[in-house]
Amino acid sequence: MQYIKNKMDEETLRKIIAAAYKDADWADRLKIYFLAKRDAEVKRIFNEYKTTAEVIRNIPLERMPDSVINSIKLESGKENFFALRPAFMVAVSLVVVTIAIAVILFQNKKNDPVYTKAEIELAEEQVKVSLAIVNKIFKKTENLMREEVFPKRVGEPIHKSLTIINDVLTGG
Amino acid sequence: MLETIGYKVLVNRFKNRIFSYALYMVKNRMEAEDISQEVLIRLWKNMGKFKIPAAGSWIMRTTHNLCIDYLRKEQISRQRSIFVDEDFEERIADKNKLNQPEVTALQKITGEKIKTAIQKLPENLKSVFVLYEIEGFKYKEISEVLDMPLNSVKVYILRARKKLQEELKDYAVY
Repeated sequence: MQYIKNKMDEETLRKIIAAAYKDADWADRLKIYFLAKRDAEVKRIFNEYKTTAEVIRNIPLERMPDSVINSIKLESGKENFFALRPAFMVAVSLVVVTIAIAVILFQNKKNDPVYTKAEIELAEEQVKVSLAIVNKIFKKTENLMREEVFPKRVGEPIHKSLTIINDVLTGG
Repeated sequence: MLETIGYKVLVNRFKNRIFSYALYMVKNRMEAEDISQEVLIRLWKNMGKFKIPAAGSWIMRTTHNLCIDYLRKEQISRQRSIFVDEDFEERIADKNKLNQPEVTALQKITGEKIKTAIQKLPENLKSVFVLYEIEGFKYKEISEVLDMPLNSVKVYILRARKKLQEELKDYAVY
């Protein structure tokens, strides 16, 4: 890096590298952009770092071999970490059964009827008519009891009976 | 039950990061597998001792410590031959499906060389660089994993980038 140090200060180099790796702030990026336009050396350094950064970004993670994970359950002697499938199936079964029960209960529950305003008014009218009819019948019955039943069917026989008893007692 | 599910989630999320980190650090596939295995066993034994959101730092710290222990114990960090990943070129090629053959070839060569150059970095720079550039951890997370100040993390990353570029100058791939 001696060749760089001779030509530019460390702070500028830091900004060039950060800009190339795309983790510089916007002000620094703009500064480096304009600097690279003016200075071929800055542009060359920036491009070198940028190419490296782009390739690094595409380096994938190494894939852990399955044998590493498989060997753990043999060595650990504890519970089988990866025997989750049965446990998972139990959990799923529980959820399914719970949902099924909930659906059955919900379907069996009678829905409250919903009436329109007109239907309610009609019902009220019918109730009034019914009550009026019942009231009329009650009044008729009361009149019948008062005028026919009590005086003639009840009062007269009682009166007759009392007269007979009176006659017997008085010796008449 | 919950512990097992949590464990499986963590393993699936971090297994490749653990293995990659170990591989870059110890430069040996077999040793990296052993370290990864040990990390996973320790993770299981310690489940419940840390909060799940902090698990990433715990896992990577354990991986780092095991790598350092291994390197110290064996004293092989500089003697080991650089691992060559046979599938690496293909994977890079898949990721860079460019129409220009010369560009693809350049990417392939550069990718392989860069990977080798990363492994040649000093341990302190390499650990920070791999965590940041390859594994995608944030400065703060790296600071927690490696137990170093935030500013040191930034400085190490800058140094690693410079060092890497210096190494790559020899390959003259640009």
